[in-house]
Amino acid sequence: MSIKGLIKKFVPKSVVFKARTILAESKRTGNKSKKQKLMFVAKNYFKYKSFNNRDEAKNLINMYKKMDLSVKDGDSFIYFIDDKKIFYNPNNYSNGTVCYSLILDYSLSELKEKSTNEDMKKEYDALNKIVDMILERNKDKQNKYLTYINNLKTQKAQSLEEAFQRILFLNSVLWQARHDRMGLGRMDLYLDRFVKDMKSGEISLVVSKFLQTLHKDYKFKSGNLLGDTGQIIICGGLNEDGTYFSNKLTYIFIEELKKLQIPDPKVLLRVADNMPDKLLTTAFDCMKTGIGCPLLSNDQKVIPAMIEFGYEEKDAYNYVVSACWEPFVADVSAELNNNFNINFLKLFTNVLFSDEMKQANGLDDVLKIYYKQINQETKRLTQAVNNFMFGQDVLCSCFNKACFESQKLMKDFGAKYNNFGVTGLGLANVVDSLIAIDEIVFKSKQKSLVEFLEIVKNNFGGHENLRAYIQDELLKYGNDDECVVELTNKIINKTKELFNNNAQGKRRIKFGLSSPDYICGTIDIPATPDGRLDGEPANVHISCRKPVAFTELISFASKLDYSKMAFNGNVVDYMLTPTFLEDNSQKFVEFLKLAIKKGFFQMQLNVVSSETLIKAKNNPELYKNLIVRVWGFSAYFNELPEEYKNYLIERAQKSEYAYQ
Amino acid sequence: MNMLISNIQRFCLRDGKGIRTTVFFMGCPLRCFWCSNPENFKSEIIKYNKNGTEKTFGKIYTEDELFCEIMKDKDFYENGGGVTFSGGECLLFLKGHTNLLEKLKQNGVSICVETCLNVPSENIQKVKNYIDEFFIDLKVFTDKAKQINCEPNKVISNLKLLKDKNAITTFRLPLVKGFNDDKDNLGIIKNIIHKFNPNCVEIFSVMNLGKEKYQSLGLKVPDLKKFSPSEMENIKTFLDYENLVINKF
Repeated sequence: MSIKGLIKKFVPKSVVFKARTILAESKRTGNKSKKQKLMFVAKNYFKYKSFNNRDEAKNLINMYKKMDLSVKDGDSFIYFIDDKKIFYNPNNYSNGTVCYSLILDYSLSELKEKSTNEDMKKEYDALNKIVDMILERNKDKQNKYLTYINNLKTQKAQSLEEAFQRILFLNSVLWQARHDRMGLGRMDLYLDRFVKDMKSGEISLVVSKFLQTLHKDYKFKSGNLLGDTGQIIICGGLNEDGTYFSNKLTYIFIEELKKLQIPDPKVLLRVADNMPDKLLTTAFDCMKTGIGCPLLSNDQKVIPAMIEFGYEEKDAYNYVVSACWEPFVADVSAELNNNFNINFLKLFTNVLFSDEMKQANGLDDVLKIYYKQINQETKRLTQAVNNFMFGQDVLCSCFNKACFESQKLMKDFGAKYNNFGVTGLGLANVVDSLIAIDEIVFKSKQKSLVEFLEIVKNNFGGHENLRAYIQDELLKYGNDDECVVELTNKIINKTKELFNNNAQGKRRIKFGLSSPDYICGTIDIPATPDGRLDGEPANVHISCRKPVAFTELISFASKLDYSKMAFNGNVVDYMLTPTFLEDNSQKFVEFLKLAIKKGFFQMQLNVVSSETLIKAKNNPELYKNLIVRVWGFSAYFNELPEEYKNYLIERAQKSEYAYQ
Repeated sequence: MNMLISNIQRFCLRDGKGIRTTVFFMGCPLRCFWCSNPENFKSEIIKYNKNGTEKTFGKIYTEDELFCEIMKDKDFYENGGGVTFSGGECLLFLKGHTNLLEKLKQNGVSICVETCLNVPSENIQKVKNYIDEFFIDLKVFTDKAKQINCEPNKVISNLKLLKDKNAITTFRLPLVKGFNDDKDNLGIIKNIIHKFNPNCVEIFSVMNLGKEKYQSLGLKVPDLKKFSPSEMENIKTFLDYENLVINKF
């Protein structure tokens, strides 16, 4: 029997879960080798307390009983995170958001009163109990934050500061209950009523404090990579009547992040061509500093795609995104949008060296063979998505407006929308590979298909010239050439068709073209015809492997067909130097405006020069605060694994070549 | 008639209003030793070797092909953007392509040229009405002009032509240490500036931008020394012109 088999047979599940969580923790603390990780688990196993009772409310109470809940500083928001408490269930609802309005507009007792679902009632009770515990352990202290906490029991929120305290209370419980990477929702919108009569200066102070509180436990909150916390604040956006919504908070969230210069939390700004120029300039001024946000999400592309998919119009206008950029409807959804992945490149290499492929007589034959793989994968994904069972979900159901109204839990489909998103990886490399095969084998007949595939299989050994030719001379995904756009859309639309053909169950699938896995998801993929060597990363989101002008990449991205179901995050990722932006600020804002009109789906910028990145890599101690955009989040450059650093440097160099 | 182009660069934010596409023609009457685009000296396709692979500088375009390339960024040309013809010396070639210029104008594309004006006057006469803005390099007006094949009188008479047309002009002074920064040359340039009264003057210290290109063409990489910020300020003060800026490039 294998070691895995032995563990499965003899070690209790709870012990395995706990060990696994500590293992994940060990990764964050920088232990790299297997030995280091195992030592970390062994050393810390008894330091961590786990809570695996089936009764979620009981788990919460037991955990908080064991936590240090003493308020130490009278001038800060109350926010307890204890990273040694494990509340583990592998399928806990994560990467979504809750309807924070519920905890602002109602007291816990009102919420309980309105409930008929026993699990939900118990959960509100548990929260009430936590409030009592906090008050009890701090009974000798008095400050406004404790009053706000006390108000949770019987009153609704009265002020912006109180609202933030209530949000932080619920947010900390979500983290502690391991609902990871939950976003903060459309904060400028649902906090609108609190800021109407406030002066900007007052708002700024409290927003800054709120952001810093969220940032504090950044390491605990991170997923596989430091910075991947999913603490996303959605700002701005089109109203159903076509006007653009923004308020003082929209500006202040962005301005305060710019001042704080921290990689997390982050802002996603919903943009449209009728948004105020001033807001776009504010966003640009923040992006220019290099903290990687705000990410721009184009309402004019996102909303129509959502409506076409089947979301009600008013709901589509109220979209937020999962931890990175995957759109879903705020407040009423139980949608997991980034737990499943379609690896277009892996599917391609599954058949690339097959006997069937060797017989292909043209690009259509190659595609036909490839589509069989996509077909199988769409079947598998549809099944996996529909077999997915939520773990502990009562807390999230309590703060989901649709579940609250239906009094049904998420796992019982109490939410209004239950679709799942799939993130797509490696489509760019597939398109580039198809172009290379077409050019070298079928058009110019430089090599036979068998010969060419043999060269690819041997990692281009001894054929470096051919590889350089493919990489430098051939058209690429990201070039706005009609043929490239057509080929890309062909695969996108075929994937839609196959997902549709294989649809089953209550959960429908949507997919996107941006995946966080561009490095980890390609380590075991052999060399591909696009010149990518064995194990090399895939393209980052929507980017081009060759130096390409920003306008060209935007034009390309604007021509992709995101309709029907291909809207699960489609981010154009571009790198620019701070000097370039500084020298061209006004023109760049004009460009952003035109690019929104042109119709990119989403866009993020990495503003850093290759020179700075190289210096930072060589002298980490001098660049402790250098922030870069990694995927849907930002991180400190020197906290990234080497392969991410190197890839960023390579991309920065290529990009600089395109515009300087 | 076809055109030999070494590069078409989209998303250029310099060299004119708005967002622009810059088209680099191959062929130049001058031989500036500091030039950052030495591949554009001659009007011919050049083969070179890069890491064992044969590559080329230069591609032939028909008017229609070039028009299509320029129009790819049409949606980004609002706010006065458009095409900037550069080189080499674009005014050696544009006179044969008034159809292209006409078509671009009809499509609302703004046209700028980057030129040294060291071309026959008729080349300018033929195209000047299509051009929205001229970026004119003023390099050297002393005896040293011969060293780079420049004819100062030709440049000055062409400047008069543009003055009569009331064209929008920006004068650019690429400053090369020990070559054109002497008082004699700067004195003449100062007179020219004050006489022709351009909309703007930009001065900048030339840099080693084309190093890789020089190497791939088998040419000696020029050894250029940068001016210090205070030296640049002194030149600015000397030239004494209101709309004068120091550029970083």
